[in-house]
Amino acid sequence: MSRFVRHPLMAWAVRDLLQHPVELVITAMAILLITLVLSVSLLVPRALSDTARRILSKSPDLVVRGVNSGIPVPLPVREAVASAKAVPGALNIRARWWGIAKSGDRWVTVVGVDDRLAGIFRQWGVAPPLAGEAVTGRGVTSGEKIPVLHLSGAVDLSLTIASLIPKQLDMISHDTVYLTKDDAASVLGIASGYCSDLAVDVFHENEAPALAADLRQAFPWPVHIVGRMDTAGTIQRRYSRLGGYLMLPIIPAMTVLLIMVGIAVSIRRGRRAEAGLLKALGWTGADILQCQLLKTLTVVLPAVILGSGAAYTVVFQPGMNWAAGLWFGWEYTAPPLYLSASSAGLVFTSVNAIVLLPWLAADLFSSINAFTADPMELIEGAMKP
Amino acid sequence: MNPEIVCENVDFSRHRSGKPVNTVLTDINVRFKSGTLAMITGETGSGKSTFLSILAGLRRPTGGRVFAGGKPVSQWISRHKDLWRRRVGIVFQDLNLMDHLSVMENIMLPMICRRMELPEIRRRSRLVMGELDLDELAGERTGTISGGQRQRTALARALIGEPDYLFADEPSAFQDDKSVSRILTLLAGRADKGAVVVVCSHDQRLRDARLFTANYRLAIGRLTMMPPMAGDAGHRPGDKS
Repeated sequence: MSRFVRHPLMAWAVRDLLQHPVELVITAMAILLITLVLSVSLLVPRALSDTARRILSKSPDLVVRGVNSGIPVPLPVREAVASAKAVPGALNIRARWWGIAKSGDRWVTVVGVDDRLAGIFRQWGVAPPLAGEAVTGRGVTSGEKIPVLHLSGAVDLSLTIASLIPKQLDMISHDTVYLTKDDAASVLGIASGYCSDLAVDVFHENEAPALAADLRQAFPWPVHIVGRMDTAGTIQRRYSRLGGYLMLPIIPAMTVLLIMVGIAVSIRRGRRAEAGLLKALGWTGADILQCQLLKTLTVVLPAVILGSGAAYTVVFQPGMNWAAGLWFGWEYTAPPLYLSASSAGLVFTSVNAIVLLPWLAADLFSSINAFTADPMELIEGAMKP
Repeated sequence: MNPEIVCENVDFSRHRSGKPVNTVLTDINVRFKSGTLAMITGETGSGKSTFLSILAGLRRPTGGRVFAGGKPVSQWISRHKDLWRRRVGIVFQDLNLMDHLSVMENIMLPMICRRMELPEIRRRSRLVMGELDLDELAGERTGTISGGQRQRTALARALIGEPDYLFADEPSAFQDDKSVSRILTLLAGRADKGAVVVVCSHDQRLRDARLFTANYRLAIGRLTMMPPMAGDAGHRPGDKS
C-alpha cells in the first residue's frame, strides 16, 4: 500500500473531496481556466519583451544612414567607412546592403551577405548564398518547398533557394532573404560602390550616444544615426501598449477567482458543525486546518500546474500567430517566441502566488474558529439561523 | 495518571441578548473516580446533556472548574483541550453522525488525526463493529440505517479510541433488550479498565440492570447523589450471582 493511501489525513481529505464531485470538477476547471488566462496574459508580454531583447542583442550599437531631405539614401562605402574609422571608439565598422523587395504578393527583407554574416551562416551549418542563390527565412515561403524565388525590386530576379535559415534563428530571419552583396544591391537598386547603411559597434553601450554625436560630425553628408537603445525604447513603447491590452483579461479572471474563494469560505462556514464535531472527536484546530490545506492543494495545485502548462503550450507552440501578427506584423507561420528562464520563473511564480494565496488565506480564515471555539459553540452556532 | 473527573462549584447559564439569563447548572460539586460507572437521571431539559458536554470538555462552564486527572481542563486553552479530548469518547443524544459517510467511516473518524496508519484504524473499527453487531453495515451510509443501528454506530465511534473518559447521552433509547445488555457490557468493560464512564439516561432498563456504581439526579440545575438500590453496583451483565 502506498504511503499516500496509508496516511489517514490525506486519504480522508481525498475522500471528503470525492463527496462533492461536481463541486470538485467545477472548481478545478475554473482554477485551470483562470490560471490559463493569467499565465497567457503575463507570459505573452514577457515573451515578446525577451524576444525583442534577444533580437536587439544581435543588432549593432549604432546604425548610420545617409539622408537627403529626410529620405534615406545609399552611402558611398569607401568614404563612409573612412569617415567612421576617423572617430575614436568606433569599432567593427561595416557596410550593409539591405532593404525591402516584393516576393509574389508579400514584402520581404533583402540582406546582402558580407564576410561577417557568411561566418555566422557557416557556424550554423548553412552555406552562404552564391550568385543567383538565396537563403531564406521560413516565413518567406510559408514553410513550402519552393525551388525558385522571384524577387521584384529595382530589377526582377529569379533565385534558386539554396537553403533555409535554421529554426533557431527564425526570430531574427523569419521574413528575410539573404543574397550575395551584388544580387542584393541590384534588386534594391543600390549603385556599385554604395551601401544601405553602416553598422558600428562601441566598446560599451553607454558610450553610444556620445559616439553618435561624434560620428554625425565626422561625415561630410547629412546622416541619421540610430542607436540600439533608441530602437529598444521604440520597442518598449509598443510592448507596453500591447502588454496593457493583454493584461486586461486579468481583471475579470481575478474577479472570478475572488468570487470563487468567497463562495468557498461561505460553504466552509456553513460546515462549522462538522468542524465542531471533529473537534469533539479529538481533532485539533491544526488537524482541521491541515486537512483543509490538503484538500485545497489536492484541487488547486494540479489545476494551477495544468493551467500553467496549457498556457506555456498556447504561447510557445505553433499557433501563436496572433501575437506575432500583433507585434511584428507577420501574417504567416510565426516563429516561436523566446522566454528566458528567469522570466518563466517569475511568471509562473507570480501566477502560482496569485491563484494559490487567496485559497490558502481562505483556508486559514475559515479555520480560525476551529482553533479557538469550543466544539459545542461550533455545533450549536451552525444550527442558529 | 488515573483518570478522574472532579467538578468544583460548576455553574452554567445561557446569556441571550434581550432575554433573561437561563441558569442551567448551579454549584455542582462531584467526583467521578477512575473505574466509576455513573448514571445521571433527570427530567427533559434539566441540563443533563449540557453537564455531559462540560465534563467532556466540549463547552466551558460559566463558573467553577472541572479537573481531569487533577488538571483544570475547563480552564485550558483550546489547543491543549483539543489534545486532551483524544482521551474522551462521547455519544451525543442526537448522535451527530455524518450521514454522507458509511458506518465504518463514521467510526474511524476519531482515529484519522491520531498518527495511526489506515490498516490499523480499519482493524480497530472492525473490532468495535463486531462488538456492537455492526459488521454487516460497514459500508452502509448512516443516513440509511435504523435508529438503533445509528445509536450503536455512535457508541462504536466513542469506543474506538479506548477512551479514559466515556460520556454517553441516552445510549440505549432505540435498542432492544439484547442490545441494551451488549451496550452495558461494553460500558462496564471500559469502567473495569479504569475509565470514568458517565451515562445520562431515562431508560429504566439501565436502572434495572443494577450495574452503576453511582446514581445521580439532576433537577433545577442541581446534582444530587441518589441512595444506592439493593443490589446496585458490582453486578455485571452475565454475572451468575
